[in-house]
Amino acid sequence: MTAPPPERDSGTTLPSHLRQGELDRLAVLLRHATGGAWAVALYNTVAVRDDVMDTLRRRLSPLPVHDFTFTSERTNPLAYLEQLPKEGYEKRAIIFLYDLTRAGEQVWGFLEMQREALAEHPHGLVFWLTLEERGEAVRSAPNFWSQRSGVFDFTIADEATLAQVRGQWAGSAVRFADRADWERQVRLYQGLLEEYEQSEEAAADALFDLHGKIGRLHYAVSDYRRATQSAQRQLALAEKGHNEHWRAIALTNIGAAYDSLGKRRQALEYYEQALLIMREVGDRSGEATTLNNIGAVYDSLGERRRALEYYEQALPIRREVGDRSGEATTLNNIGLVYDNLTERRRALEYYKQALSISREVGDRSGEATTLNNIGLVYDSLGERRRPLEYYEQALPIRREVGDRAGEAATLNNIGAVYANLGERRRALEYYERALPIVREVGDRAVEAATLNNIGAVYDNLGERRCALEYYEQALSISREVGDRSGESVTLDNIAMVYEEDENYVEAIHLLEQVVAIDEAIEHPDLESDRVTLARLRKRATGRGLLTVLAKKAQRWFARLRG
Amino acid sequence: MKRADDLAGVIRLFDPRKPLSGEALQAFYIDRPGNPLQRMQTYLQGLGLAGQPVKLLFTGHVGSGKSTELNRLATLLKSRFFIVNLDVRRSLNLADLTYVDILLGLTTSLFHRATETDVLVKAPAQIAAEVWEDVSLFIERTILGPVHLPTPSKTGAEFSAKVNLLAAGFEAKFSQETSTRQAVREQMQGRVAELVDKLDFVARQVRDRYKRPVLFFIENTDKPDLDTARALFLNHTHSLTAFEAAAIYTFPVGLRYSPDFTLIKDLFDHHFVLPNIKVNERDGSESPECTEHLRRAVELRADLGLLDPDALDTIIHASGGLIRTLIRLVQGAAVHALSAGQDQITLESALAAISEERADYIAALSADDYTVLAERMRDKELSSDEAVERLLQSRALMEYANGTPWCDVHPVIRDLVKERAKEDSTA
Repeated sequence: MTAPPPERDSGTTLPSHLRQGELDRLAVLLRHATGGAWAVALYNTVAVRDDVMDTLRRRLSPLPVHDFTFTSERTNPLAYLEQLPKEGYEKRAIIFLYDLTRAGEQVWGFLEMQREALAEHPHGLVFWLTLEERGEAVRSAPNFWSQRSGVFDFTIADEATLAQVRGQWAGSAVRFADRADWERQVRLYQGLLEEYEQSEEAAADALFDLHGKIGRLHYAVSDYRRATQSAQRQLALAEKGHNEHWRAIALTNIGAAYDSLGKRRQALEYYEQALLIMREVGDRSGEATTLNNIGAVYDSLGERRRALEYYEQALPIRREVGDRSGEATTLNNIGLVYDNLTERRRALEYYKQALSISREVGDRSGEATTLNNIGLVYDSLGERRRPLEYYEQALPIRREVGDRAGEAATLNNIGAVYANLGERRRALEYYERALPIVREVGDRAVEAATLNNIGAVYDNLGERRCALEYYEQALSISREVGDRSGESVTLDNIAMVYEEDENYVEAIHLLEQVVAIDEAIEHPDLESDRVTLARLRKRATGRGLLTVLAKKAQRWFARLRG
Repeated sequence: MKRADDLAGVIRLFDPRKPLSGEALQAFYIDRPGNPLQRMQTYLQGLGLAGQPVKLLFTGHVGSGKSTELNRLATLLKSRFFIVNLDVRRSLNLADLTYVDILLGLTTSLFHRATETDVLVKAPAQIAAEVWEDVSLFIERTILGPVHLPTPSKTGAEFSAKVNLLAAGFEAKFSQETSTRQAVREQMQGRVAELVDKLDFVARQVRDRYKRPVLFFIENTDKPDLDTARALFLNHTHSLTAFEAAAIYTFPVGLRYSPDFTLIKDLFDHHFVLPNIKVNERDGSESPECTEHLRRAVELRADLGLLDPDALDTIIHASGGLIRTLIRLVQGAAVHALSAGQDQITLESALAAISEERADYIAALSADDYTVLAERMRDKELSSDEAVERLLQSRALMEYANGTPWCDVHPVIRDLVKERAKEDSTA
C-alpha cells in the first residue's frame, strides 16, 4: 500500500475565521464518496456559506457544485435532483441545500420519507443547518439523520468575530450580474436580516440598509410586490426611529414600485411626499432621483411637457453630485419624452449621450434600456430593419440581468417591428412570449398594451372576433389602471373593427371618446384621429385606417422604458 | 464486489445511506450473532409453507440493519415462497397512510407481480385469459373506477397487461394526489371484504398454479409518525391480518414500548425483534462473539491493514452495536485520516469521528434526559414510560436482549452521562 498524497490544496483556503480542517475533510468526503453522501454543514451566520461554497467549488473542480434553496414553494429536493443533467464528471454533482426550515416544519418529515429515494442519487448533498435546526433534524428526522455521513462545523464561536463578519457582508454592495448571483445575494441579505432581527442589539441602520438591498434586488427582477414589501418595512423602521431622511427614501422606493405596478397616481403621491423631505434634509442625490421619477410618472401619464420640467430639474443635480449612472437614466428619459413628442433626432441625441455613460460606468441594465429606446426611435423614423439591430442587442442583456419587465418590453417591440413588416405570425410569436412575462411581473398597463397588440395582429389577419376579444381585455385593464393613452389606442382599434363591420354608429361613438381623451392628454395622434372621425362621419370607408392603427400600436411602446 | 484497499475506497464502500442489497448483499453480508433471522426463516418455513397465512411484525432500532436483514431473508426464501414486495413509501403516501391503502397496495402489487411477463411465461398458457378476468375487472371498475386514467390502447387478449398498466398509473396517482386517495378510499370503504376476497382469490391461484404460497414483505410501515402507525396497527389490525397470505409488516420500534403493544401483538401471529448487537454484556464485560462479528463486518468491506487495531476496537465499542453507526464511524475516521495525509485510520482519527458522533447526541438531549439516562445506566432496566420510549427511539438508550431484555446508555455518551451525574450530586 502506498501512502496517498496529503489532500491539502493550495490556493483554495478559507478566510481565517473559518475552520480550514472542516473544509478539508468535507472536500475529502465529497470527492471520494463516489456513490453519493449526505453531509451536514453547521453555521451560525449565513455570511459563511458562500465562502465555503466558493472554496469547495474550486477544490472539487471539475465536479459541478449547484445550490438548492428551500422556500415555502420549493420544498422538494428530489424533484430538483431528478432534473439535474445526467452527464458531467462521473455523473455526480455536489449540491448545497440551504434554508430548510423555510419549507416549513414538515421539511423534516419530507426528508424522512424521501431519504431512500434521495439515497439512490449519486450526488454529494451538503445540508446547511443552524445549531437549532440540527437539534430539530436529530429529533424529527431520526432515520434521515442516522444515514448522514459527517457533520462539519462552520460556526464562528467568537461573538466579536461573528459581528464583524456579518457586518462585512451586510455592508457589501448590491450587484446585478446574473440570475444565480441574484439568488445568492437575496439568500445572503435575507439571511443576515433575519439574524439581525433575532439578535437583541440589531442596529436599525443595518436593518434599513438590508431591506433596501433586498428591495432593490426584487425591483431589478421586476418583482414589484416584494419590492413594495421591503420599502414598507423601511418606512416602518423610519417611523419607529423618527428618521425623516429614511422616510423619504422609503417613500421613494414605494413610489417606484407602485409606478412599475402601473399605479401611477399613487406613485406620484409617494414621490411628492418624498421630494419635500429630501429638500428639507438636503439630500441632493435623493432629490434628483425623486425628481427624475416624478418626471417618469408624468411621462407615463402622457403629460410630456410636465415630465420634461422635472427631468430638467433633475439633470443638473445629478451632474452636481457626480451621479453618472443617474445622469444616464435622466438623459435616457429626456430622450424618451422627445421621442414621444415626435422630435426623433433630438431624442437620438439624448439617447446616445445616455448610452455612452451607461457603458462607461458598466450599467448593463441602463445600457439595455437605452438600446431598446434607440430601436424605438428608428422604428418611428420608419427604418424597417434597423430597430431590430438595437432590440437584439438589448434582449440578451435584459435576460442576463434578469430584467423581466424589460425583456417583455423588448419582446413586444420586436413583435411590433414584425407586425409592421407584415410578418404577422412572427409578430404574434413575440407578443405571446411577452404576455406571460408581463403578467408575472404584474404591470397591468403593459399587459393591456400587449393584449392590444395581439388584438391588432388578429385584426390584420382578418380574425376580427378574436381581435375584439383581445381589445376588450386590453380596454378593461387600461381603464382599471387609469392609463388614458392606452385606453385611447384600444378604443380607436375597436372603432376600426366596428367600421369594418359597417357599424358606423358604434364606430363614431367610440372615436368621439378617443378624440376627447387625445385632447385631454395631448396625444400625438389627436389630429389624425380627428380626421378619421370626420371621415367616418361622412361614412367614408377607411381602408387607410389600418396603417394608422399599426402605427399607433407601435407608438404605444415608445413609452416602454423597461 | 471488491473490498476497499485504500482509504478512498473505505469512504466509498462505508456508505451509511444504503442497506445491503444485490451484489453488495452477497459480498458483505454475514449472519448476525445468534442468527435472529434463522428463527424467522424457520417460523415461516414451518407455518407459512404449511399454508398458514401467518402475519408477522418485524421491528428493530433505527440503523440496526432491518432492511438488510429483510433483503437477506428474501434471498433465502425466494425459492419456496412467491414473494411480493410492497414498499408503502414508494407506491402509497406515508403522510396519511390507512389500512385501506395497504390492502389496495397489496392487491395491486400481487396482481402486478402475478401477471409480470417472467411469471406468466412459467404459468399454464391460458391463465391470463381465463383466471384473471374477474379480478382484472374488479381492479379496473371498482378500484380504478374513481380514478381518471388515460385508456391504454387495446392489444387483443392482453388485458392483464392493460390492467397492469392501469395499476401502475393508479399507483402514481394514488401516491401523489390527495383527491385521488380520497375518492378511492370512499369507493372502497364499504367494500373491504370484497377487496380481501379478490386478494385471497389471486393468492390461491398463485399457490395452486406456481406451487408456492404468497409471502408479502410490507416495508416502511414502520416509517409513518407514531400516531399514524398507532391508528394503523391498533385500530385496523383485523383488516391488516384478514387476507389468506403470509405477510411481514415492519413495525415502529417506538410503539413496541407503548402499552398499546400488548393489544397489537396478540392480534398478530408473532413479532420478531432484530436485537441490537451487544458489545458489552449487562454486567459490563465484553461480548467477544459480538465484537468479533462487528470486526468481521468491517473486514468484509475493507482490508484490516487500513485500520490501526486500537482504532478499530475503539470504533466497534463506540458503535453500541448499531451497524449503521459502525459504518459511519469508519467512514468518518477514514475522512479524518485521509485529509491528514495518512494511509491508515489511526486512533486519533477514530476518536475524532467518535467525538463528532457525540455532538449529535448532546444536541438532542435535554437536562432531564441526563437524569433518566443516569438511572438506566445504573439499573439497566427497561420501562415503558414516555421518556424511555423517546430515548430508545433516538438511540441514546440502546435495548439489548439475552433472555430478558435490558438497556444501556449508548457508549458514545456514557462518560458524559457519568460526568453530568457527578456534577448533579456535587451541586
